[in-house]
Amino acid sequence: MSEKKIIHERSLILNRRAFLEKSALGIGGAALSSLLGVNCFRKTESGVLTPDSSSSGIKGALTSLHHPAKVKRVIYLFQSGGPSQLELFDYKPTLNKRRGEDLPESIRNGQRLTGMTSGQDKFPLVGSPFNFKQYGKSGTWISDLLPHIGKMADDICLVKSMYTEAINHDPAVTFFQTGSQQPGRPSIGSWLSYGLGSENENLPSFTVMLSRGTGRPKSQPLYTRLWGNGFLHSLHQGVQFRAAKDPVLYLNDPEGTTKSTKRAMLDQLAALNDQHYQENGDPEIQSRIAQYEMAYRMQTSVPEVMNTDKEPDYIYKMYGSDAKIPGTFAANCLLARRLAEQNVRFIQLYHMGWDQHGDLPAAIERQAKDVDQASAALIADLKQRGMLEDTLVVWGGEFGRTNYSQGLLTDTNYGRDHHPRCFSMWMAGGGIKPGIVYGETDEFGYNITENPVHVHDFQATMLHQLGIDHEKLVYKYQGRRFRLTDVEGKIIKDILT
Amino acid sequence: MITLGIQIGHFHPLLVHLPIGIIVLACAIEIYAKIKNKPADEDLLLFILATASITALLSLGTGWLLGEEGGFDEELLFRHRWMAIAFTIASILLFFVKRSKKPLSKKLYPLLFGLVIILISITGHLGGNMTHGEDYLFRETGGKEIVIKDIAEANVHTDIVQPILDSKCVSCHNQKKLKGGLLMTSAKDLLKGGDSGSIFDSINKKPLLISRLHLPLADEEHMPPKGKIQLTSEELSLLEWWVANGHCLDCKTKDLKTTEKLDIILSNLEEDDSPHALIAAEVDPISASWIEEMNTAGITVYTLSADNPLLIASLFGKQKKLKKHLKTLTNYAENIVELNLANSTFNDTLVDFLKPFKNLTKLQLQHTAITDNGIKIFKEFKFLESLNLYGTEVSDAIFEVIKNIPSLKFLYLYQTNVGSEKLDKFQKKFPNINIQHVPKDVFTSNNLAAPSILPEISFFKDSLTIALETTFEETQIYYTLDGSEPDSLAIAYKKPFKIKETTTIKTIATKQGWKPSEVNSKIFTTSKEIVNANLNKLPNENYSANKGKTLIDLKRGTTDFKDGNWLGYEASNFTATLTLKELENISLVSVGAISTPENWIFYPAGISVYASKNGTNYKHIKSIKIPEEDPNSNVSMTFFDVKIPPTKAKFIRVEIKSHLKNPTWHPNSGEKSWIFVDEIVLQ
Repeated sequence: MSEKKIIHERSLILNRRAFLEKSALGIGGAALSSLLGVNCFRKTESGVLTPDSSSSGIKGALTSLHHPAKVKRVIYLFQSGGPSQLELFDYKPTLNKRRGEDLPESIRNGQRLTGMTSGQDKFPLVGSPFNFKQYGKSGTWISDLLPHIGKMADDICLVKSMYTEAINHDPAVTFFQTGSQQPGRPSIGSWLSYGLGSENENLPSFTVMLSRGTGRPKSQPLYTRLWGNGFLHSLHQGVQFRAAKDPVLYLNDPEGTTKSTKRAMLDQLAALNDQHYQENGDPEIQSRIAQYEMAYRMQTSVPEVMNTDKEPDYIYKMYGSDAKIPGTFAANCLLARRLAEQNVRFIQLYHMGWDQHGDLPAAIERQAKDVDQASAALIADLKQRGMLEDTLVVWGGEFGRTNYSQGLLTDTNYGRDHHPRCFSMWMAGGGIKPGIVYGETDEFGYNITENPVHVHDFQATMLHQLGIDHEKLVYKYQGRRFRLTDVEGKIIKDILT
Repeated sequence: MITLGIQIGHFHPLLVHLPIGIIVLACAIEIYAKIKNKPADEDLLLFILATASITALLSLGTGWLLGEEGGFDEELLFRHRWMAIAFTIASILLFFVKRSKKPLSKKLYPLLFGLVIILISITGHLGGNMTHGEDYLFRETGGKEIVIKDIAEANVHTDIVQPILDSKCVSCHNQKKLKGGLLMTSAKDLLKGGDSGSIFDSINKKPLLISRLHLPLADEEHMPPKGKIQLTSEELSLLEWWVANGHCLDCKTKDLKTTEKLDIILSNLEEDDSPHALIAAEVDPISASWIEEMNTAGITVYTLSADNPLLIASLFGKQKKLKKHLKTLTNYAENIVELNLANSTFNDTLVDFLKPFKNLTKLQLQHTAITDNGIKIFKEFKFLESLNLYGTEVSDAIFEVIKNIPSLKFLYLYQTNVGSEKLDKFQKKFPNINIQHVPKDVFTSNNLAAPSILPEISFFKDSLTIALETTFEETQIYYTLDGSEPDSLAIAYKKPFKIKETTTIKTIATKQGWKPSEVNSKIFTTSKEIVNANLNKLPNENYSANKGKTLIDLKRGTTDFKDGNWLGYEASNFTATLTLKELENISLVSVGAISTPENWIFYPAGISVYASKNGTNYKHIKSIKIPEEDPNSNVSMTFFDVKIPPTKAKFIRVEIKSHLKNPTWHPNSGEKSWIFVDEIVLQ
């Protein structure tokens, strides 16, 4: 086959799906011309190529919100590993009274176990060695491990009745982030980027920051696909900001490159890419051009937002001295606030190390110290800047932990295994009732007795707050319409103002 | 592209009536000819039928595009579409049959014509149902909209229940249809019931009305029947509530008991008198092309939601042409309820440009150059609920202005020149205005971060340069070298220093306004240079790291026994023979080990030390026993020191003994246990 013919063939094959989709509308000819012939980028005054809002997906697939939004952005403080609700939020004195007794089968009720405790012949109950106190006007019970979050109790809505179906980390985190236990679906932030587009054209609308906890420093890793775009355009994937000299990898120019050579190079590259796009119409080429341009703009915007030198001393007094150390949860919280100020729509933090199967008391004390002050400071800081009004802050992990000890229960030590049947999360911010506790668990802290909230319910509620009907934000892929909440999800109206 | 399709689709209502009219015209001509008994003009009829077919095709095409837009009842759409296809094919066939001169065609023609008429009737009816609603033809007229001003005073039957019945039930249970003999149009008819008796009589413990509503959708008896618009869960709750309270006809909402959930549902029925609703009722509808134009010009403008004329506009961070942008926004100033000018070049001279935006409910001016001279403008905004002035130069004068804005709920004055006394006073006087600031007592206990001690190694040979670092500026670092707790009387750190022997460094940082940091401590241990380490047997293949070299690489393992710095032996002792560079005086042998009972790893049971000058004759120097651990599940690491009388040697042999089995207190007692060693140090 001659080269020309190969190119021609490929253009037909590559576009088969896109072509069929459009031509099914009955005017294939017109579709083809618009698919192949339109330049999707325009030059701004500063000479930067920007995606043209009308023809590309960058402005967001939704032309308008489904209903007025309560929040404009989300900061999701993901606590990876499964924090123990029993030491933090779910106060169960019964477990202390009945310490060491075997978990009654009537309570366990056939709950499946992980491979880590399925070999255990006894399930000795164990309560929290840390005291709980009631905080604020709301009288919310919160553990002594979280004194700062306790002081902000009147600003948060604590949900004690979360549940999930997954029992191991990867499926459980994937479930929370993408609405499916199997990998391959877009992450929440990608859905938002796809649906709503970006409010700040100089920063990605979905950013991710990781930190390792001191509770269990060598815990499971996380995968980049957790902030992946799945089947959506790749420009919707989360951009990871690292705690290093180059916050975003490969963003800086190599030595000796000036701004103008870079610009000229990008323009030439865009022209070549555009030519290729005219030939075969692969929409991923548009994504690529857009990403190059975004990276160009981020060369100035990222260092600006990541440079916390000018943050005054009292800000560090709020967030804690850890906030000075790049890569800590506290430092990431401070950056999250700075990104939120720049209208980044979805800011995802992951704090690892909550997976405390053994040595839990010591580990959770360290781990809680990592997050307590900074989480509370983030809320307070947003509040004083008038941003809590239209920001949703979410704090929680992928599942809870068992009310019985994994491994040996000694006078001072024990561990806890994964527990999907109930766990605690909290939310704060626009449209969420502050200072309430929603849902209840039984006295053993094992089953939900009131107002269960499923992962999909949580996702539906989050989208609702952003002005999106979770049943209407869909993407057709492989002949099926997909959505974040799959075919489920009820909005938790009771916690909304 | 899809948008283009939909716009073409919008021609459907225009085109769709053409084939109907034309086909009916053809039919009328044929019938007229039949009655008059004289043949109609064949050519003319053929032309009419051809026109009908072409317009039918056009209608089908545009209709298909319109259908893609969505928003229609899927089932109706499906039926309408396929009926339309059938009609189009039939009308084209009709043309060819008419043209054909075969005798069979002559017979077929009237039959086919009849079919075409039937098909167009059904298709047209279905299309009508889609646009005007299924009950369009038979709806009771005069359905008046009920506005509930105060839900507590509302009549439960006429204001709440009957409207639900009217919208969801009456299309079948009316005078004309009277399904199941049941009329639901008035209170009297409801009480009368239908063929199955009173709708309030209990069947299976539930009143008939409620139980029918609760049946599964597939059930024949389920109401409303499958395919009709179903009741929402809120409507269902309201009906249940009404029936459970004796389907009272004259009760008011406040007379009946409610639950928290019902209260929410009920309050949603109340007329929306929020500022947004009031403003929305007055302003002009918004033009989509204008929004598009704004967005292309780099101004973020969007509607609150679909079909809402209110706008959110953002000029966030604009450094150039702010005046021009504000002017352009004036076109729809009254529609704009939220305006974000934060971080822009907005200043007092531009204040007058805000005047047209009289319906603002939220105004963000944080980090702008507005001062007390510009704040009078806020009086113009009678709906203003949230005002953000954080990071501006405004001062106490702001209170004089905002006390005249009764709608104000949130005010942000963080980092302004407003005095805290004045603020407290104002807050007491106007408790409804929420002035946000962080309570002083929340973030009080602040320890400085402890300095880090560099380098990150634990062993050295001759001397080592130590540096202490902290990320905070204007911090003073203190340290000790003798193991005592450092305080401000300890050595003040100025620059890196050298150590020459095994040293414990303890350090703290202090800073004005902060609590001193916690103590950070670290031991640096000297070690003789060992050139080789031979193992008498290989470690377990999964934990063999760099074999003997691992023991003398001067690199400590971490608490993760899998990190590649540990040698692991399962149920076995082992012996390491260390070769020094030259003959040395040795007085201490230290063995680094880890214990993590959860992973069946324990500290050694004992260590024996042998020495040799020539590498062949070894002399036993000393053995120590290490007591069995108490029950625990901690991960811990330590060095076991074997102090020996100073011995000249070039070769040291260390025998490390394992407990071989898990201790009796372990959940898996008696199983094979492990020892893990990372380092052997000689001094």
